Amino acid sequence: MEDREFYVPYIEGSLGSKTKRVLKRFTIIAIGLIIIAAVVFSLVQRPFKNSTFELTSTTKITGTFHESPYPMLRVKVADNSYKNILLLGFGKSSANPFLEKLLAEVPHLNGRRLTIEGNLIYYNGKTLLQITDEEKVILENQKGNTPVKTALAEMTLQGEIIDPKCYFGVMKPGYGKIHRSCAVRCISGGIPPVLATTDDNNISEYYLLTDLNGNAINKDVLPYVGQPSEMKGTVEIMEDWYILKLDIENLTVISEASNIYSTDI
Amino acid sequence: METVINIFLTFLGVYFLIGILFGIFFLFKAPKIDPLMADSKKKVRFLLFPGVIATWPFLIGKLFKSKTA
Amino acid sequence: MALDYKLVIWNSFKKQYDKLIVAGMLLYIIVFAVLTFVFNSETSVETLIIRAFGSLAIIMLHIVLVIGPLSRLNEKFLPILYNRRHLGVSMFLAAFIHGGFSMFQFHALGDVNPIYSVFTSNMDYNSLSNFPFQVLGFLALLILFAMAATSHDFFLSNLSAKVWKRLHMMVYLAYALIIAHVFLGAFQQEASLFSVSLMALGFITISSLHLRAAFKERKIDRAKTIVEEGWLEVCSIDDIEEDRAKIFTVNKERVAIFKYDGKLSAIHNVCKHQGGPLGEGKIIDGCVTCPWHGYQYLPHNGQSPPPFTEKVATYQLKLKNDIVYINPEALAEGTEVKPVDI
Repeated sequence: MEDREFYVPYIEGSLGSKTKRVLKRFTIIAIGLIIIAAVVFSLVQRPFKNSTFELTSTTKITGTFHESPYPMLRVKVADNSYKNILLLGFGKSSANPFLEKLLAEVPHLNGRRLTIEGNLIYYNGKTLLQITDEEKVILENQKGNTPVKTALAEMTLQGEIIDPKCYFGVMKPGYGKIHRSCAVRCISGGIPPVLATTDDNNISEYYLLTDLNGNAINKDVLPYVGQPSEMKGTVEIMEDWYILKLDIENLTVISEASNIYSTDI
Repeated sequence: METVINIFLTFLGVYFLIGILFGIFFLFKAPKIDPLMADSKKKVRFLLFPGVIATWPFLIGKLFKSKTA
Repeated sequence: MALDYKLVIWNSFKKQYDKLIVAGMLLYIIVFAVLTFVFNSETSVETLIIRAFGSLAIIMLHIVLVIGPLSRLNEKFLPILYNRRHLGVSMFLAAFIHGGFSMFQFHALGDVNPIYSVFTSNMDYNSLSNFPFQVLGFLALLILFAMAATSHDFFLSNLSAKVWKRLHMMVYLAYALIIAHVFLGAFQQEASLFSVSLMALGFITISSLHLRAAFKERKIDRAKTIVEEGWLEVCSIDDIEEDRAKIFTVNKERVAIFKYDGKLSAIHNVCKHQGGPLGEGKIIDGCVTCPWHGYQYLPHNGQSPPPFTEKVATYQLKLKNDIVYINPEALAEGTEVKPVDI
């Protein structure tokens, strides 16, 4: 009975052998738990997309500027083939503040050729450019053609309203519940709202959202961002982008998960 | 809900602002809160600084007690 | 039991303890990162940091929470409790990296203050599946901050042991908030049978250990005592081991009755430092020594030996036919009581 061990850390040698054994066992179990947890928590992560954000390198791109209604740069990629690069500001903001300096020189920029140096974001055929310095937006002398929009049909679409900056590269994953607040912040800050959809064949399509008059719709969509939703509107095609003209009344959040959650897009 | 959030965040902001002011006071005049601080190294005050910010309502009373005593 | 405050009162045990904490944390981060890069190489560094440190903080919180009941059930776990403070602060740091990084990633560089954004970017407070789970994590982080920041003896003595204890009992609220944060957040988007089971297993382990420890202590509080002319009959003299104590509950207070050098003394069971159970301590060099951090008290007057100034209440005892009786009225803290000779 008298052999009950009693450890006082400031008394050297008071750590008994039975206590030592318990401590050793506890440490081994704790290390085991750490390893098991690290294995479980890292391996259960769903696959990440191979989207890219070139945070540390910049690229110079020349193209025709247009607002449709979101700032874009139209770039020729082959004969009769154009890419419209979505322009974004730094952080969770629109490209517009970075264009103000030029707007002081010319009345409007629509149809003007610009050379912009920024960070590329790209995934699944879409390209975006982050502008971080207004000095790196240079007005060229030439003018260019802006893309033509063609109305396709009235459509009902299911998907999630995402902020394209995060979705196409800055964050992984850039959609869903965890990312929802960030998407709200981005769209509230001026990043264009985009509807991401995925059909049963795992093909994704992206729709720039505008109101019925083709104007920016950032504020109206905020409560619905980052949740599976269904919306009805007129779809237009503008070269490599779709545009969905939407009456916000025709948007509902749906309870079941849309395809974009079930597939590794 | 928005009102509740605004009230809560304002409260939190004011709480931490006063806490930081009190914490800075503590960095200079720690022995007024606890006489044992006079004999303690100055580094200890920086270690205690965040905690003083967090718990200033419980410590500020010591100041008045020691003044009246 | 201090005359001034130190950054940390180091000893070799604490140093070894801390080395293990750092090694364990590094091990977790490295295993998590290597496996992620090997099997899921398209990850981004920010996501890796947020996920690795968030899950690490949860694992550490579980370890922190089992130490208390384990050492109440088996005193051989007490050395782990001894430096739990450093484990708790390290856990806060891991949670802070997770929370700080998430707040920067998801809420900074926007059109409103990031903290305001945490609370307002998602207003579905009346929905469960869409609940703004980040708010729960933020509130848990506030509690963990207050606890980590006050993990120093300065706050024990200046906030009063009662306030300090209450503040640190909020770890259970933080744990609940964190569980809700994970279930309404990460598990809504990336639920896996394995990760959900691991969390559930953790919850079951923590709650069952706490229940077992509580039942063990209830036995002490429920033990029957017989009253005789104002004195309570508590036990036979042989029930107490030499240099040790037995704990009894009288007038709803726990009292430790010590047997040493052929004498008996009774003092209040609660250590002035962090509320450790003195009755589970031992008489060392003539002093009652607390099992938690080694604070000492003289058994005959409940006072810490000079130059220290802590005092606990004392009780009167009497011995009749080898049966120990106690006067349930506590005497003022530090009152000298002549020990009963056996």
